[in-house]
Amino acid sequence: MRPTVSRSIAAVSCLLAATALEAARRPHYGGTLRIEVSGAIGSLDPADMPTDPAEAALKENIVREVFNNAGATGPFRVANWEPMKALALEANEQFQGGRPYLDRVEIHMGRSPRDQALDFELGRADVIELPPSDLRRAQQQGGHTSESAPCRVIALVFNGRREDLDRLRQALALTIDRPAIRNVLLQRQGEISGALLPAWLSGYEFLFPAGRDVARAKELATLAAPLSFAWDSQDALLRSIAERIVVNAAEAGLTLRPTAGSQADARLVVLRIASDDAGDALKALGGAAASDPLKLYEAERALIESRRMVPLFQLPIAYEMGSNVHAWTTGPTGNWRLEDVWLESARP
Amino acid sequence: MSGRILLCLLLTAICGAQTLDEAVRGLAKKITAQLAPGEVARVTTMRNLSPLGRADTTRARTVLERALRQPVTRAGHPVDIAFTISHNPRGLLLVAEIERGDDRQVEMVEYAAPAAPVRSTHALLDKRLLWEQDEPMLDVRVDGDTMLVLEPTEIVDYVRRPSGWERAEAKPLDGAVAVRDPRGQLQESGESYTAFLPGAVCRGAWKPALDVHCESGGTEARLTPARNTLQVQDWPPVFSFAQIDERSRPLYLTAELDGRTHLYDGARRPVGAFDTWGDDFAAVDNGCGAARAILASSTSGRDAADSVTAFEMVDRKPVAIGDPAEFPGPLTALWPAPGGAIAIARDLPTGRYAAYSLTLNCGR
Repeated sequence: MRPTVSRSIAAVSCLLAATALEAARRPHYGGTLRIEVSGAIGSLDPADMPTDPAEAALKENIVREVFNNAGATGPFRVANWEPMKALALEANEQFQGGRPYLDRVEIHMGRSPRDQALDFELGRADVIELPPSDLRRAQQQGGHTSESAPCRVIALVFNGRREDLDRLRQALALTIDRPAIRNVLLQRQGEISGALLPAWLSGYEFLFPAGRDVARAKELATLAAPLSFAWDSQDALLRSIAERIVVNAAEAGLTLRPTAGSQADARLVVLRIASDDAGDALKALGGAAASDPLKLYEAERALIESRRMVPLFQLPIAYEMGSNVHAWTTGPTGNWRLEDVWLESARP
Repeated sequence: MSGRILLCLLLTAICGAQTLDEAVRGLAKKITAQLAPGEVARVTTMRNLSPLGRADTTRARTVLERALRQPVTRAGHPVDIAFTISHNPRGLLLVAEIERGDDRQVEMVEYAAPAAPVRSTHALLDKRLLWEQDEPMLDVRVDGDTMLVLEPTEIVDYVRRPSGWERAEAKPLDGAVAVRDPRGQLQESGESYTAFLPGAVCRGAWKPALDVHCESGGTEARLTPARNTLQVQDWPPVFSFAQIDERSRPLYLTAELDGRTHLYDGARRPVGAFDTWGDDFAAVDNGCGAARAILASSTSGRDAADSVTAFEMVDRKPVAIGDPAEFPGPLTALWPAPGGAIAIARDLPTGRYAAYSLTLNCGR
């Protein structure tokens, strides 16, 4: 858009929307920000990191805001703590980077996506999580959203000592209709990928194949006995993807039998990209440390083979926030920077 | 002497930086090392997954093909090379997939492109770049061959040399409190200066040598302690404040926390408000008719390009009297200064801070 045109539009917008004040450019101090998340943590000890990716991400964000990652005092202090339920933070007046704009942050944990959406509608929450399937709808409705870079990997992980497991892993990888799942279940959010590290982080993600070849899958799955298949039944998105994978596998003559527990032959899991450094991220996933890109690529290939993984999709973490919330940023790996957030009309 | 040293350093830096051509040749060497005797590499596929333009991509392919060319033309067994230019947070990644049937080898070379040169913007208002630096700065004053730069935690004195500005001395601002949206204003008088910081006032001389003495609190503080607002006697906290005369009567302008610019008459009664300005403005001497004009920032967001426009107040309404001066990022400061104003902007592409002198020129 040409500058003169955009300036004219801006001027007209200001005249028409006298109450929609865009002029408040300098941040305001004060107010309470209310965040709702589905994950829940039971301890604030930085050394006690949860294994669940969503909970680990939440814990890292809280630890950074309170402990500043180095054991030093962060931008906020704990005002009230109810394990697995709620955390209230208050501004640290002595924070070395300058006192945060917000007076207080309230984080309500363990809130289902449905409860979060309801509280947001009723004005009881300022920031909520957005499932990938809801991101497009929220944006189309003019909602304020923020998303990370792809930092969650949906992958199949194979277990057990079946002799034909590697062959069947290959067959299943070739039979999954990733584009259909992305278009329908993920509402075109995230990326199809055969790699663990996303393209934005490694630069070589395209070297990992993610194509579909049902004919080849049928050859590989010939006369195969059924595979037991598990996923987190509490996760609605995983459940819908898993059900689709069962259908895809059947097209290649491979039977997946849903089961509970971690001893299944194949599990559908969510892995987390925990760092914006490719080497550190791979190490956190269990790979060998490397900084040279070729060595990193080889380490990633080795990790996928040794852990018998089939990466499928890479998804961002997304949030929706009220129009009074300013300067909310979601970092590439889903990290918050609450000290920069400010509210336009501060609530006492 | 120091100019020669600087030139040498600059040339070393330029010459020491790897070019894209060199990186591509490095990849060619790695490919060649993978070839068996009798094999000849040929680039069959080229993909660009990076922000690199078409011209650079085409050139990279040409350089790779030339570098892979055998010194003596001979018939050999062809090996297909899929060449991809990708990128990651560290820069460009040049990837070669060496394909022999179902077998595939991979080679990679990283290339960290040098920072793009800063583009100067076209000046519509009289806008002159004074200084730019990586660190945030709050205000700048230039007097002849000396320059004073106020930063959030120190004040820095520069001296102009044939090679450019040279940092002469820096003094810490004891008592300066870290603020998330730091603001500070300089006021100079001859060889001395006063720096107003949130909740503190620092004074000192900047010629012939720099010294500083800071005091916290007191009635002279112009900026609210640990906040980003101005404290003007008997007024609520505001982001900007100015007094001008309209038809020989005083008119006060305040950028208040509701995001609007409010007008008050000489008795401080509210007489109007509008929301077409940003939070930063400064009253400057005009010379174009009205006694004083206002330079005001735009309403763009803090992560967008900004502009400053000169206004006159006519019947308590702002009337633009010139084209806006555009900036490559958000304004972080706009203070009145002798002869005009000082604007500081954060350049969005580079992240650097640039200080500009703004003056109204009626001759244009």
